[in-house]
Amino acid sequence: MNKKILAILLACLMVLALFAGCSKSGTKTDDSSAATEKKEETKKEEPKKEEKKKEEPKKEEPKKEEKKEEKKEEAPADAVEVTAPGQLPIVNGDLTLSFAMPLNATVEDRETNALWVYLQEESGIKFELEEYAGDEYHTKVDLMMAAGGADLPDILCGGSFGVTPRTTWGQAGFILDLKDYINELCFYLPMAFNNCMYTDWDTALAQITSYDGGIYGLPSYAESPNDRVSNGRINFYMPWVEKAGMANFDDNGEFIKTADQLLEYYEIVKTSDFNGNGKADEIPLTGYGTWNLKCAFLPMFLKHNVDNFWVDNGVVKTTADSDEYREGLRFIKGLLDKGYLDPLTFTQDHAAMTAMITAETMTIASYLRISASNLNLTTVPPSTDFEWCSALAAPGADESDRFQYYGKAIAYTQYVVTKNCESPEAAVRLGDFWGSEDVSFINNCGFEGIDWDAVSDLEGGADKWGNTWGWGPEDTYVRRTAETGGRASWGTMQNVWMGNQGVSCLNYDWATQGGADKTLDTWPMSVRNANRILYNITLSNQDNVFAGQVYTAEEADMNANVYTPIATYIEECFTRFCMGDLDIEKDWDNYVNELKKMGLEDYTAVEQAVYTRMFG
Amino acid sequence: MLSKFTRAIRRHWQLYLFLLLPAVYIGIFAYYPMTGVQLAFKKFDYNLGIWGSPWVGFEQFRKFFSNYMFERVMTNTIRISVLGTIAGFPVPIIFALCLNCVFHLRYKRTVQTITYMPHFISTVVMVGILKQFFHPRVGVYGIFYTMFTGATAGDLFASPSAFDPLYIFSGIWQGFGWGSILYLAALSGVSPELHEAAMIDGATRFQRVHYVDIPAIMPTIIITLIMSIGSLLGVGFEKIFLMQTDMNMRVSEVISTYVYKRGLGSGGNSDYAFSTAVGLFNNVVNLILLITVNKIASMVSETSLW
Repeated sequence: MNKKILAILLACLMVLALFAGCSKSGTKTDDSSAATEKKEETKKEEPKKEEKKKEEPKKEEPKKEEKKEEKKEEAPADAVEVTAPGQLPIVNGDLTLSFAMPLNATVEDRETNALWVYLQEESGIKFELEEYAGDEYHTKVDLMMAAGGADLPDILCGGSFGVTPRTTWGQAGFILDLKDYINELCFYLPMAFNNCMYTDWDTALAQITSYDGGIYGLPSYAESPNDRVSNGRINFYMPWVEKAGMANFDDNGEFIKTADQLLEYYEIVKTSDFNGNGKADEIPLTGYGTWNLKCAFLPMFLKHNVDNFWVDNGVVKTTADSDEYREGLRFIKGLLDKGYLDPLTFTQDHAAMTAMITAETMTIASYLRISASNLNLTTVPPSTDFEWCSALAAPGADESDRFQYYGKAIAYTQYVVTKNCESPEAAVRLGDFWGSEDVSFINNCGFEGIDWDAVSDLEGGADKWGNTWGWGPEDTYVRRTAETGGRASWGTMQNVWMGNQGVSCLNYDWATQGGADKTLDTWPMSVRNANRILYNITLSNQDNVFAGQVYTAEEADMNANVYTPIATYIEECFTRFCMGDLDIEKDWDNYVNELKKMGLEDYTAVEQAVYTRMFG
Repeated sequence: MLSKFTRAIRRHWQLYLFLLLPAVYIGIFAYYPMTGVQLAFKKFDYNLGIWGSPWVGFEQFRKFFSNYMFERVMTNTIRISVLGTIAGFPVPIIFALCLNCVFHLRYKRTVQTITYMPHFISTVVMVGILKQFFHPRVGVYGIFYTMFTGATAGDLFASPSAFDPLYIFSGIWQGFGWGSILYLAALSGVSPELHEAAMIDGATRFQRVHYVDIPAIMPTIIITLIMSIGSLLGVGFEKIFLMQTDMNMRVSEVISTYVYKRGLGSGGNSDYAFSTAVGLFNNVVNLILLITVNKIASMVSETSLW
C-alpha cells in the first residue's frame, strides 16, 4: 500500500513539475534568468513600489488615452521626486529603470562601462540591464509585444525601431506616446538638435512622428558628413597606385576621378606583378555584398542616388527599371568580364574580404567598403596604406561631370519607453540628458582629458595638429591613442562609450572630428580625407534623395506585401545581370515587365502619396 | 457495475500511471499550442492577442497564393524535397546492406563510427565547413581546381545550379551513417538460418542480399519512406537559410525560410498571421501526402502506418 501511495505521489509530482513551464516567471529565457534574479533582488529593496502594485485591483486593459492619463496620475511623486528639466540629478529618491539592449560587439561589459556608470551617477537613477544578441533583439522585443507586453522592461534601448512597428505597438498601448512628455520635459535634446547643421529639433520630431500623430520614442541623430558620402568608397592600396604612377593628388585630395582612369589602373594591375611573386594573382577590385558596389558605380550613370525611389522635382521615380540603371549594370558586368572585379564580391562576407586583404601575400589592389576601418595601424597592411577615391565620372565623361551618393541623415528612434515604466517622466528626462551634446560626445569618444583633448589644450595647438574644418582650435579635438593614455579606440573592444547607443545627437563638427585616430603620423592623411569629404558633398544632390518615409497602416501593408518582393527581385536580378546569369540585352524587357506585373507602378503611386503628404 | 475501461485501469493502474506523464506533457506542449493555428484565419492585433484578434477567413491564404513568392517557394520546396528523397533515401539502405556483409568486426565498427560522426556536427558548423571546403581560392576545391585547370574556380555558393547538389549531397554525407542504424538493427534480426539455407542452395552473396536481407527490412523501408514523404514540404530551415545568397535565392527560398523571414526575421515588421497561414498550409499538404502514401503502401504491400 505504501508503495502504491508513493508511486501516485511521485507521478503527481512529476505532472505538477510539468506545469512549472506554464508559470509566469518561467516565460523568461534562460539567458535572461540571471538578470531576472537580479531584478527580483533589487525590487525587494523597493517595498513601496511592490506594495503599490499589489494594492492595485486587476482590471481590463485600458484604452491608450485612458492609460496615458492614468500614467500621469500615477506620477511617482509618492515614490521619487523628479527634478525640473535640465537639472541634475534627475530624481531624488530611489528609482530603478530596467533596459533591454542588443549586445554591442565593441562594448566589453555594460555594467561597468564608464558611460553607463556615469549616467547612473549623474541622474541618480539605478539601471538594470537585459542584453540580447544583436540578431535576436528585435525578434525578442516583437515576441514580448505579441505576448501582451508583461515582460517588457521600462525602456527599449538601442537597435533602431522602424516607425511602422513603433506605431503598431504604440496604438496597442505597449509603448508610450512621449509627445507631451517631450514638450514638457526635454531640455538638452532641443539644444543639441538646434546646434546641428542639417536639421533642427522640429524637423527631427517630425521625422519620428507616426501617422497617427504619436511620438513613440526619443530621437537620435548623426549628421557626420563623412558618413553621408561614405557609401561605395573604393579603397586603394597606395603602394601599388604609386607603382602605377597614378598617385597624383590634387587640392581636393583626389587622385583617380574618372571611370576611364580607374579602368586604366585596373588594366595595369592585371598585367603587372605588383606583389612580385611571379604569379598573375593580383585582383584589381574586391568587396562584400552588392550595396557598396551599387553606390560606387551606378551614380555616375544615374546622376541620383541608387535607392529604388528618388525624387525629380516633386515626382517620385523608380531607379531599377531605367536605361541609366541598365547602363550601370553593363559597366559592372564589364568589370567582371575583364577580370577586374572579384566574383566573390557577391557572396563573401566582410571577414572573408578582410582576410584576403591581410593575407601574407598582398593580392588586392582595391576594395569596396565605406572606409578602411576594417584595418587599423597594427594590421598588415595598415589602414594608412589605403586611400579612397571620390565619385567617378562615367566612361568618356569629363571629370567635372560626377555625382556622389548622398545618404541623407534622418532622425531615428532607439529609445522607447514601455507601458511598464512606472516613471515615464524620469525615463524621458534620462533620455534627454543621454542625448545632450556632452553625453553624446562621451557616447562616441569618451571623456575629455582622459580619452581626448581639445586641440587648444594640446602642446603646439592648432599649428601642430591642424584645423581641418576651419572652426577654430576650440572645436577640434584629438583622440588619445594607447600611447598617449587613451582607453579606447573606435571600432575595437573598449569599456568607455557605448557606440552611440541610447539617445544620441552627433552634430556636424563633433562627428567629423571623431572619425580617425589623429596621431601625428596619420594627421596628414586625415586632412586629405577631410578635403575629399567636403568635395564629395558638393558633388551630391540632396534634393532628389527620398528617405524617412512615414507610412500609414495601409501603406505599410502595401510596403510589406507588394514592395518587399519587388525589392528582393530587384536585388536578386542586379546580381544575376552582373554575373551574366541574366542577359542585360535579351532579358531586360522581361525583367521590366516582371516588375510591372509585381505592382511596381501601383506601389510607386503609394510612395508618391507619402512624399506629397510629407514634403509636397 | 464497473465498465471494462475502469476495470482495466484498476487492474493495470501502474501502467496507466506511467502513461499520465507523457499524456499531460503532450497535452500541454503539443496540443494546447496547436490552438494558435487559429491565427491563420485572423488578423493579428497585438492588443487583443491570439484569441481576441478579429477573424478574416481565408484572407491570409489568399495573400499567400496571390503572392509573387508563392510559385517560387512551392517549386523550390518540392524540388529540393523530391530530389533529396530520391538521392538520399536509398543511400543508408545500401550502406547498411553493405556493412551487414562485412564480417571483420573491428573494421565494421570503425567504419560505423566514422560514418556516424558527421551526424553530430551542428548545422552552422556544417555550412561553415562547406563554405571553407568549396571556397574558390583557399578551399580544397578551389586549390585543386586551380591546380588542374590553371584558372580560378567559380563560387559554388553563387551558382544556382550548384545549390541542389551541394545541399543534397552534403546532407547525404552527414546523415547516411546515422540513418543506416535503423536498417542495421532490422538486419540484425534476420535469422542466420535463412542465410545458411540460401548458401546451401548455392545463392551468391548478392542473391542473399536480394532474396533474404531486402525482404527482411522491407517493412522498415516502407515505414521510413512513408514518414519521409509525409514531411515532403518540411524541408529543413537552418541549413538552407545559412546557404542562401542573393545569387542562389531564386532556387533556395523554401517555405520554411520564407515563413521565418515574414514571421520573425523582419525586424519588428513581423506578420505572425501570414506566417501561421503559410505554415498551416505546409502542414496540411504534408498530412494529405502522408495519408495518401500510407494508403498506397497498404494497398501494394502489407505494411502501413495504420
